[in-house]
Amino acid sequence: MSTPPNRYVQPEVGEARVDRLWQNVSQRLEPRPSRVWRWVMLGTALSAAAAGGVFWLKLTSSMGPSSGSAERAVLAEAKLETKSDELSVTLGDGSSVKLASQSEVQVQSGQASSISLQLSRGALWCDVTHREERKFRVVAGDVEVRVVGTQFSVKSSAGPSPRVEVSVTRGVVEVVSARRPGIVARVAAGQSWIQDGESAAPKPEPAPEVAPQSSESGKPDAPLPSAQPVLPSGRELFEKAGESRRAGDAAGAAHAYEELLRLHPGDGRASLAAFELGRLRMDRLGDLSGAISALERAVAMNIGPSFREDALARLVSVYASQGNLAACRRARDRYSSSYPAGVHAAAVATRCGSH
Amino acid sequence: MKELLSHSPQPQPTRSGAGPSDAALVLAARAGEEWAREALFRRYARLALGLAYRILPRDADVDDLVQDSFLAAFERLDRLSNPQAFQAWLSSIVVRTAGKRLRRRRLQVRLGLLRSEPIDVDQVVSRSAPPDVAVELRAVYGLLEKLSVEERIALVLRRVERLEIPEIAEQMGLSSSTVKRRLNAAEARLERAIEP
Repeated sequence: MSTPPNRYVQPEVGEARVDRLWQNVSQRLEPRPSRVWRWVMLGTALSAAAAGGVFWLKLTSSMGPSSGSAERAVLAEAKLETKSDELSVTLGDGSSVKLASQSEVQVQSGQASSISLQLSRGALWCDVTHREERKFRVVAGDVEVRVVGTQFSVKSSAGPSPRVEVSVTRGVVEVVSARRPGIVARVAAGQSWIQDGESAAPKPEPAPEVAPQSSESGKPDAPLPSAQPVLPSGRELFEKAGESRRAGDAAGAAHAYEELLRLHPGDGRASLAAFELGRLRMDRLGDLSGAISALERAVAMNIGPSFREDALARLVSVYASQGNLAACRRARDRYSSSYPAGVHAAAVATRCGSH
Repeated sequence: MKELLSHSPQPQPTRSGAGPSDAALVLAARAGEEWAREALFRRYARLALGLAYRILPRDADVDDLVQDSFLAAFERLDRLSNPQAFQAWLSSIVVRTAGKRLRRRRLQVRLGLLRSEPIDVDQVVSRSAPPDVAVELRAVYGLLEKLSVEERIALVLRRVERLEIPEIAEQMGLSSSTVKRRLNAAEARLERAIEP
C-alpha cells in the first residue's frame, strides 16, 4: 500500500503549539456551571448595616407579605438579621443563601475571590455555585465550614460556644473547629456534623430529610464518614493526575492515580486510573512490574472493552520486555481468545517467541 | 490518514496506548467533563492541524481554523449521533469551516480588504516526498488558488488525502454528483498543469 500524499504536506506541530491552542479553545468554551441554585424562599426583616464594601447582592423574596421584591445592594460587612420570617439572598456569583427566622449573619467578606459569612445565631442554608477560584466559608462560633461547591445548612445557637450543626444536602463541605485544631472534617451529601455547646466533641448524625433536588452536575462525591480527616476526592485526584501529565510530570501523575486507587477503589474513574497508571509506568517510568500490576488490575476491574483490549495487548508487550515468556504467552493467549481479530492481533502474535 | 478520516458506523477499538475510546470521551465531554474535552482535543489536534494545513496552508489561518472547528465540535457534541465517529465528524467540521474561511477570504480579496497571496509550494510540500508525489503535490498546490472553493477542497481531499468520492461528499456536505463535477473540473486543470 503506497504512502498517502498527505504525509508530505504536514505543518510543524509541537507540544507548545497544541498547548497554546488548547488554552485558547478552553478559554472560549462556554463554562458550564457545576451547581445550580434552585430554591428561593424567604422572608423579611433585613437589617443591613454597612461599612464600606464592594460586593453586591441581589435580594429576592418569595415568602411573606412583608418580604420585599426589589433588588437592592448589600455592602460587604453587612449584618443580615431575621425576626419572624426568613431571608433569601442571591449573591453576585449565583450562589444563594437563605437565613432562617430568628437568625443573624454577618458578611465578613464579599470579594469575588472569597466570601465569608459569620453566623451568630439561627440557621443558614447555602446553595453554592462551584467556582474554582472562589473560596466560600461560613463561620459559626469556633466552627468553620469551607464550601467545596454544594448545598448545605449551618445551625448555630447563640453564645460564645454555641451548638453548631452542619447538614449537607448536595456535594461536600469541609468543617474545621477550633476545639479540634488540625482536624478537617469532610461532610458529604446526606451527612451532618454536630458540635454541641461548650466542649463536647462533634458527632455524626444522619442528615435531616430534605426534598430531593436535581443537580446539573448530578455527581456529588461519594459519602464519607463524618468528621474524618479531609481526603481528596476521586475526581480531584483524577484531575490532578491529568494536570501533572500535561506538565510532563509522569511521576506526579502516577502518584495521583495511585492515590485514587488507594483511597477510592470504588470510584467510577478507578479502572481508567489503573489503566493510565499502567501506561505511565510502562511508557514513561520504566517500571515494568508496576505496569503489570496496574494493567492486571484494570482488566480485573471490568474496564471498558476498548480499554481492556489495549490493556491485554500491553500486558503481552510488557511481559515480553521483562523476558517472562511463560507469562507473555499466557497473556498472548488471553488476548487472542478475547480478540482474535483485534487491532493488536498481528502484533501480539509475534511476541513471546515460539510456542 | 484515509482510515482516520473515514466514517465507520461500527465502534472502533482504540489504538494501542490511545487510552479511552472516543465514545467514552465524547460521553464524558457531553456531561461537562473538562478533562474529556481536553483529551479529545489532544488526541485529534494534530489530525485537525494537518487537515487544515493541507486545505489552507497558512499557519495563522490554520490555528484559527482548528480552534474554531474544535469549539464548534464541543458546542455541538449533543448532535453527534455516533460518539465513536468523533474523528470523522471533526474532520467534516474542519473541512466545512475551511470552506467558509476560504469564501470569506476571497470576498475580502475581491473587496480589496485583503491581499491575495500565492501558496509557497516549496514550503508546503516536504522535500522528503518521492519525485512523482512531489510533482503531483506541487501541481495541486500551484493550482489551488485558481480553483473555486469547492473545487479546491474536493481536489485536496481526493489528491492529497486520497479519499473516495462518497467520503469527500460526506466531509463536504455535498452530493456525490456535485463532488464529481467539482473534481472533474479541478482534475482537468490539474492534468493540464502536470502535462502541459
